Amino acid sequence: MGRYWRLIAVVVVVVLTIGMFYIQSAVAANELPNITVEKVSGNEKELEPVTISGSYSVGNSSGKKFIHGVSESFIVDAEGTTYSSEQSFFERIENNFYPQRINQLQEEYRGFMRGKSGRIPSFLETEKRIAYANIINQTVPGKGNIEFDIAVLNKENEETTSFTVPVPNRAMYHQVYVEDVQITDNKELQVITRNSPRNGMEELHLYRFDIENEDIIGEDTVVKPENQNENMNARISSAESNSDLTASFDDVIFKKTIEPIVKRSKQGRVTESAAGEQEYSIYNLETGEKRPLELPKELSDQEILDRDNRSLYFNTGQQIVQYDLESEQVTNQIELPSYEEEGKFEAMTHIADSKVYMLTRDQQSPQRLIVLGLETGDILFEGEIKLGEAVEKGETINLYDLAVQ
Amino acid sequence: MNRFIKLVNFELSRFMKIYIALIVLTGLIQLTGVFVTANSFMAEADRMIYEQGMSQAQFIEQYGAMTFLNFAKSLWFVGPIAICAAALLFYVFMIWYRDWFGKNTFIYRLLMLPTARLNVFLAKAASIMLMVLGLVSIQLILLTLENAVFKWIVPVDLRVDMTLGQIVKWDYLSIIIPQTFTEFILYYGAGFMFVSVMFTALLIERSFGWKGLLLGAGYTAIAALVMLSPLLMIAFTGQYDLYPLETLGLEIGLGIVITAVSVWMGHYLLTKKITV
Amino acid sequence: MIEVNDIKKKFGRKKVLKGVSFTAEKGEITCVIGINGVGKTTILNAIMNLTPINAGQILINGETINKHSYEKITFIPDAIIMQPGMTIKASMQFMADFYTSWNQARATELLGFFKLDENEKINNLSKGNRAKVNLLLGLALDVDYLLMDEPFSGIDIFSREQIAEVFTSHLVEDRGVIITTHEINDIEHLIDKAVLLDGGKVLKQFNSEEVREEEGKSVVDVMREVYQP
Repeated sequence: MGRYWRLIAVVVVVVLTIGMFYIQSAVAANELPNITVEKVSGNEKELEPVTISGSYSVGNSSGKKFIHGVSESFIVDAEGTTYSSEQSFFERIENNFYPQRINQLQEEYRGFMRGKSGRIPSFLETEKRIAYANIINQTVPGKGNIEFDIAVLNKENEETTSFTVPVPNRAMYHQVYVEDVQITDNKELQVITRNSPRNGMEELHLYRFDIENEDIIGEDTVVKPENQNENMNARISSAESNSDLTASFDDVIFKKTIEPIVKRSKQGRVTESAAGEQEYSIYNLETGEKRPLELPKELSDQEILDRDNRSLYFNTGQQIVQYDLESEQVTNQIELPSYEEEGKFEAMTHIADSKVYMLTRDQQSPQRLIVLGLETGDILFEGEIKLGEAVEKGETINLYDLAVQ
Repeated sequence: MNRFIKLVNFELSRFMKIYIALIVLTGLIQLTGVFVTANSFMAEADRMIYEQGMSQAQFIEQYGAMTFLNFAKSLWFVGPIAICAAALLFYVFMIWYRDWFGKNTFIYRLLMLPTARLNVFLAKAASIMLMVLGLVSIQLILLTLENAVFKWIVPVDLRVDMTLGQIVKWDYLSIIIPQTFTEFILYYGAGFMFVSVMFTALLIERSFGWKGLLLGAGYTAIAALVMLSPLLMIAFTGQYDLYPLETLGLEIGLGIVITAVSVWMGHYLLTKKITV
Repeated sequence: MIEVNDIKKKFGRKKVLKGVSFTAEKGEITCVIGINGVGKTTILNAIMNLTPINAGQILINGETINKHSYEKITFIPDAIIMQPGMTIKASMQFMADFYTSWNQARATELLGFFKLDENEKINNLSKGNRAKVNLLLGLALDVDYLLMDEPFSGIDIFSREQIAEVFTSHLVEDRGVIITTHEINDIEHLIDKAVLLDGGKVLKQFNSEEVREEEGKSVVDVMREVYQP
């Protein structure tokens, strides 16, 4: 045996050290502090649909000479705190690859979702169907033959219709992105895309597809910036529901921003532009009718916080304003709470189920979570995010997302 | 003891001097590094607090407290790891070529041992894996020691403590020492695959001369293409039909096939094609 | 019996062996004779499966070579085949570790016979002494067949005498030996069978005893007839 000391020594050191390390790290993962939402007032039941994601870091604040640290992401939901290191390797691969909404669809419709892109705006889920539209062949080098890849799943009989169609006038476009997918009552699939022409500004297009005959039946340019010139830059974006990008609507609302150009790169790309004017328009999918939205002055330069089929919601900083699309009137305003010590309440805001969910942005202290009634403005719940018993000093938590189921 | 274990022990013995030198070198440089980085931090703190009249709190506010990563991100720590990695990578080739080259041609002896020649192949591969894992283990032990030295030099008010688990999560350290045991098995399984592919490529070269050099390079390239085939699929068709876990399963399967093919080819070359 | 049947070997385009056949019996010393570069070493390598052959067959006691054969047949090449830096003792230990046919008593005897110091590193030995170590490591195995490649080349006269002495001793006695050489002088009186090789073929193989008794010729005489007609 004596002659084998080298082999024995190496094997013993490897097995003991690596074994101990993994046993110990399995135990240590549970030593990370619990993160809780501590009730200040209201009903804790309101927390049930809420998922907060963030990162926990030790000694990690940038910009200082001697600080280096590590951080770990976590989620807090009704079941408590889960750190990324508490997930198994397989769970991490399964959960962290696609956005949560896509994961959800994949779990439910595994066969239909196979091989489809992970971009949420490419999907539409209604009671009866799931529709999918994507532009393929645009990342493949040397191929400019971009096509629509369309698929519709009928939930009732589990039948899938799928086909590909060349994008009309595809040679003109440098890139085409799907912004939204909708289906009208008479089974017409409508795909709203943002097209970048090889020369000129971005345009918003709408393509109509006949699902039964598996063909494209129409194209409409929804917005085309006309007042563009050397010195002005136009940006177009569609305003979808922030809570659910796969939701179904009767119309498309989009925003056009005209900005003076400050700086261009050598290739002529706009690299910097000043604040400009924005205007909202609404496009009816059934009739193809387009009209500008005549918003009250105090809302016209605001971002749309969220929408449903009837209303738009704006967050002005002091209020949540509800604007009715039918009557073109502000129908409701609720006051946001303010706190003396930090003044205006800067928050990530979500609207779901007739409630407003707000979570403190960044590292303001104390970090709060508030749930308001959308109609009444009553505070249904108010809580502070608390870090459990500290294991190390110099630890911070950073909240970066709020989701409501 | 069976001859395979004897061969592994023998291969370890042959590299032991250099191996121990690598360990000692790593330990010396890294421990020196802890002293140097911690002391320079303390010197700066002393200068600010005693000469500039800064309070301790102000100093931390402005400069931040020191963590173990200040040392771990420096060349003092990274340098020796790079040296060890390069040495072992080099030895993947030398573990064979040293038997052919020089005036003492030990390959005669190895091929004439009364044991399957595949055992020679496997013993060399196992030795490489053991030496890699040995260095990883030593690094884990050193990290614990260095963390203790760091805490001993820098007073508690000026530092932020990290556990070993938190330290190894950082950047490339998490490749050497992965977070979960599953990943550990996968990473080092891939390492074994790499070693067996390299060995086979090298034996192809030994069997077929300069033509073998091209064939060996070709074999390596094919193995790489097979492993990357899911990626190539996406790049060339833009279409990919597997879910992430299925891709992982596919990659594990491909890895096992490549390893098995490499080992089988190694066996074939050693018994049928090899020339001294 | 070792049977070499019509083996052919090419190095690139060059045909080195063009169909070589001969046999070597246990208890006999068979000498493969030919000028340098004629493929003598290649034949021995081929018998030991250290190089592939392009055609033909080699049988050892009726079997093709396998891992068990190496307990029964050993090869002493013209170069040291131990690790650089190993001592003689460590080399013997290595052999004892891996071969069940290792005979420690015989090894000790040979060590005394060659007057070698077992603590000496092989690298530091003279060429003659290295050849002796090589011989020792081969002879100390209880094998049926012993293959030696040019055991006398480049060695001083005293070492040659010592090595030659081994062949007549009980150390070789009933084993089969294949020896290659390009100069026959030192061992002419030892060999039982000669295989004359040229141009990749066996020109003649004969029993030296028979030739001596029946034709009154020495091995060198026959070689003259064959190589310089």
